[in-house]
Amino acid sequence: MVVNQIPFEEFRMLIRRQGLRVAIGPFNVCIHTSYKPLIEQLYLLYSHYRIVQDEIAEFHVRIVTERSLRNPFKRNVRFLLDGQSPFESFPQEQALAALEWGINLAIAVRVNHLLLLHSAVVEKNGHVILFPAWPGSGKTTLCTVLSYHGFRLFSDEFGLMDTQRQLFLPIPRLMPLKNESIAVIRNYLPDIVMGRPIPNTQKGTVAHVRPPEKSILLSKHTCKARWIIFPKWIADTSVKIEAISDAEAFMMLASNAFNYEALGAAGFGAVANLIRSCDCFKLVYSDFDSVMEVLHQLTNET
Amino acid sequence: MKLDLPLHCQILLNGLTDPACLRRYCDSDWELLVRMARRVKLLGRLGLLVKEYGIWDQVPPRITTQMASALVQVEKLQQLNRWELNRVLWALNDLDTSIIALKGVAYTLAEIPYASGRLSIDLDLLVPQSDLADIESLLMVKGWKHRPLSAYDEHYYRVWSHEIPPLVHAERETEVDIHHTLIPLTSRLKINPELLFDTAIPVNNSTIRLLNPVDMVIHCAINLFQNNELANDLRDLLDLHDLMVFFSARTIDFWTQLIDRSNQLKLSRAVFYSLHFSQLIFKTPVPKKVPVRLHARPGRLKLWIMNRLVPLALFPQHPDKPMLSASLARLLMYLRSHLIRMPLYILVPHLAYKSVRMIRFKSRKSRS
Amino acid sequence: MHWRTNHFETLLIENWNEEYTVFQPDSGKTHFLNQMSMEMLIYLDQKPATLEEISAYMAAQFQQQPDHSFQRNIEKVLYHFDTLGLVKKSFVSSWHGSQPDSI
Repeated sequence: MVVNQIPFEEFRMLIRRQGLRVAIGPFNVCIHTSYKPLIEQLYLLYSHYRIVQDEIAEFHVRIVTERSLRNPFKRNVRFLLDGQSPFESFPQEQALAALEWGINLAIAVRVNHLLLLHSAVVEKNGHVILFPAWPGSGKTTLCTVLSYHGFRLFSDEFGLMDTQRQLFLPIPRLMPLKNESIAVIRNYLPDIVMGRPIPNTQKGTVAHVRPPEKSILLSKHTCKARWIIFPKWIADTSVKIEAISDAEAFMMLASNAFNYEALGAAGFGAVANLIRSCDCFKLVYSDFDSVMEVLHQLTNET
Repeated sequence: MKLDLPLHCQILLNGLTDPACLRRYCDSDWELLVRMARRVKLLGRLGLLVKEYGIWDQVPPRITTQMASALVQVEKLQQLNRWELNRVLWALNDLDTSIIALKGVAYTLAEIPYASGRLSIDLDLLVPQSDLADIESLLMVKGWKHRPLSAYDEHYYRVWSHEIPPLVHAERETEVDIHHTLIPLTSRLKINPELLFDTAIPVNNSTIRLLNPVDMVIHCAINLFQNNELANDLRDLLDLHDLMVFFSARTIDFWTQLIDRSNQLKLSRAVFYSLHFSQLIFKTPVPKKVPVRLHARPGRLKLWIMNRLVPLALFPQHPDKPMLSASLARLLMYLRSHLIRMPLYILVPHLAYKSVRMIRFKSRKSRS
Repeated sequence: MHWRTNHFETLLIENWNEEYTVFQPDSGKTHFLNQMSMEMLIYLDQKPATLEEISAYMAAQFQQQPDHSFQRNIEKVLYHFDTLGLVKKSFVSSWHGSQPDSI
């Protein structure tokens, strides 16, 4: 059963009463809230996720409303993970952003049975490309474009790697576009479903893109990695891709991962194997057409 | 006295004390068990038990991945603690002093069963007060720093506390808590730390030392029933249980030593509660005649109250349905812990200050 | 005073065209080492050496002048490695002597 196969009222009852359980990649997340505007947004943006009411959920999250301490006439929302609040409260219009950040945080601090690289991940021809996060990478924007242009979305944030089998696991979540990239993507991909822009968050204005249905449908299909590409968006440059040294790629990938250090020797071995099995590049780009041309060329070469 | 626990607490306690019963747990029991165990820092311990009883493969995969994750975290924190201790000893190599490892690292060095499943965040050390200034300045020369502190906190540590402000090395994250005694200076109880150093036990191939077994138990007891607020401290009571089971089986007159030492140090109240609740909750095999020989036993009314409040505070709340009675028990235990640590004229402004800060720094608390 | 390696045998070393990523299980850290640093560790692992001996060996290996500034640089690297726990000072002339090891 998928979210858009049940009527809104039933969805609303689920999420208010026993909590809505959805499969997001390898994890089941149980979401509770009574805050109606959030329920409406989730019904639209989570519409392709599978409902798993009778399965175990690893993450139990809530968005609750409360009165603001500073202004008693204003309502705030608070994110709870297993009843504990890891953040300050948020203005109520940021409920969706709070929920999405909260789930990311929960994954980042708790999951250690997989290596968690900080990277966007897409798949093409049965192989995975990693776009690790580094300042100015614009990985979410690039990832949004690719996942609606012939690449399968794994994640815009987490490179989940099973270190024993050296496989990447898809975890397609909402993609939070920031500031200028919202309008850029609206122009470039006018047909995609996007949540309302949420202004004044800690990261500026944020709007969440719904992942492609097919990517969610195929989210049990794992793949090995073939390319690691460190992207950088620079205005008005022509696209350029060049190889970088393995040692440099190793250090950039490891130093920016969520749990590389926690995994100890297993993490070291996994990253070494990963680097050995991948070609590593730096990519500079400014427009999507030419970057896709380069990537299609790269992925079709082999 | 019989222990009367709400169902969710029973699910946790049975899982920890009788792993055989885990075979009968259904998915929703497991789900709740993992959430509760994580809340009281015992998910790694649960993972060890499940492995030890050979039922890992029969447990739902969504549960084993969470226990595996917790075990990775536990191992990482222990490795960080070991390394921090290694670096502290390296930094202080030229100083002629005596350093005692406390809590988690000490349990590992003493090879207490299940110590490898214990989530230990900070490195706790005990040093002679006379060497404290030298140790602090030497560590600071070699790269350790204090986190930025408010003037109030600085005052709190320097004047009232039994430890100096925590030190963290610039290139690492592990917090080093250096104690010069085991009880806050404001407490009515006083302890002569020299007694602890006199009987401390060396560790093979190292300059670090450990408290002797009874002192280790007593330290754990006063931390739990004297220094802490008890909320979600089930892990610490389990530490006590582990220590007592381990040492009583290896030392013939362990219980006599424990009683005599507790009476000598005038810490028998905390030790009484430890024996009592460890026995009540974890069925620690404490001989009948032991508790009655402790000098400072609580009166009947006091014990009746504690019997009702302590378990409610120690066990985690149900993550979806917190109980008001448990919240109240925690509040009362919180006030009690401060009351026995500080005279009222310090306590009232202190709590007022802390409550203001709790509002301001709520997000920081989620760390542990 | 001699320098020697500290648990060199426990290090996991990956060689990427004369650049190295090194995992140190004791600290849990991953270090990035160039050819010269790696050469120095390997040399010290064979036998403890004084600063002068190390400098002379390294200068010969990498065709450098073993002058004062070269020696100063080698010394800096050694002290940095000491902080990281990759090497340690050894005051015993015979390196088989049993110094108590820290944990």
